Amino acid sequence: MRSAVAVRANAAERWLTVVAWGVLVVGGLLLVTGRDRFVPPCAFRTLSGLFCPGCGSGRALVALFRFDLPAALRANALVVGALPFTLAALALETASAWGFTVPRIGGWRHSPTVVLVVIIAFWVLRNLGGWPWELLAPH
Amino acid sequence: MNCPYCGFVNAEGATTCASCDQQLPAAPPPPPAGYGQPPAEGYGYAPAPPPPAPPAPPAPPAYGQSTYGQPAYGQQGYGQPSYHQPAPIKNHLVMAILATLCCCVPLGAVGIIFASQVNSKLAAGDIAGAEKASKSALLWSWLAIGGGALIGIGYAALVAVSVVADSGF
Repeated sequence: MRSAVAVRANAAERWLTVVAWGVLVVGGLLLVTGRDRFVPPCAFRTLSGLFCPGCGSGRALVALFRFDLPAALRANALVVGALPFTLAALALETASAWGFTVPRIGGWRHSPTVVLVVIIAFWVLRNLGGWPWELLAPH
Repeated sequence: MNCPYCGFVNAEGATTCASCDQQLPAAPPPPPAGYGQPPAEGYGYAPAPPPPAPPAPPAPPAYGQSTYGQPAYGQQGYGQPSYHQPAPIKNHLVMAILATLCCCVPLGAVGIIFASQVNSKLAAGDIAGAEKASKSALLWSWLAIGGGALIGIGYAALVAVSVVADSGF
């Protein structure tokens, strides 16, 4: 049964995949062409002076475009590590939202919790300073 | 007992899951029944370690969630891997992660929290609550990704305008 609510949620899912890919592609182009100029600085870093979990992801992506993995890891190790999985998962999510039958992912009960804990841990640890935590901060 | 396939909490003594119609293992703690093998019981030897539990098959499509035109019933025969079935209630975890890392940490984190609620409510058998949390997760991912995109576009436009203004036109 396809109720009106389900159809509406489906449309929201589909358009979100479009917007997400648009952000990735346009953001990637902006990063490569002129990161310092066109991409806004991190609001959290500007306001608090601390690093957010995503700080350095722009530098990391630019470094990856240049196949410079060490520089990418120095900028934001979490984004580099999560990127292949996130892209693959986003591709599957997109296919699923547009009606294709794809293998189920993220079915494990505690995966959202683990993701949240990892991100928050990365957030805290990279702000501690001193070895080895400074390796997690953009440097 | 908790269904090893979908996590639905069934009445004690139930033989089939009320949510996904899979046959429930007879003895708690339930060994995951693997890909179609009935629980190895009464063979007089310790059964081999069970294979990893298959991904939870979808709940019945009667809860108002789109099943993308594919009925789940009748296809979940034994021996048939269930991971080709679409997810019935999505937790939108991917979108929340993307929102957290690319756009806005606080809004994306709210999305991840709702994604985790989807899973825990599904496991507790609270289908309606899981659907609600699923919608919230989608909404917060929209706020984070869409809002981040709008702010980014506005910022880039401002920069572009100032670049043009500086160049003397």
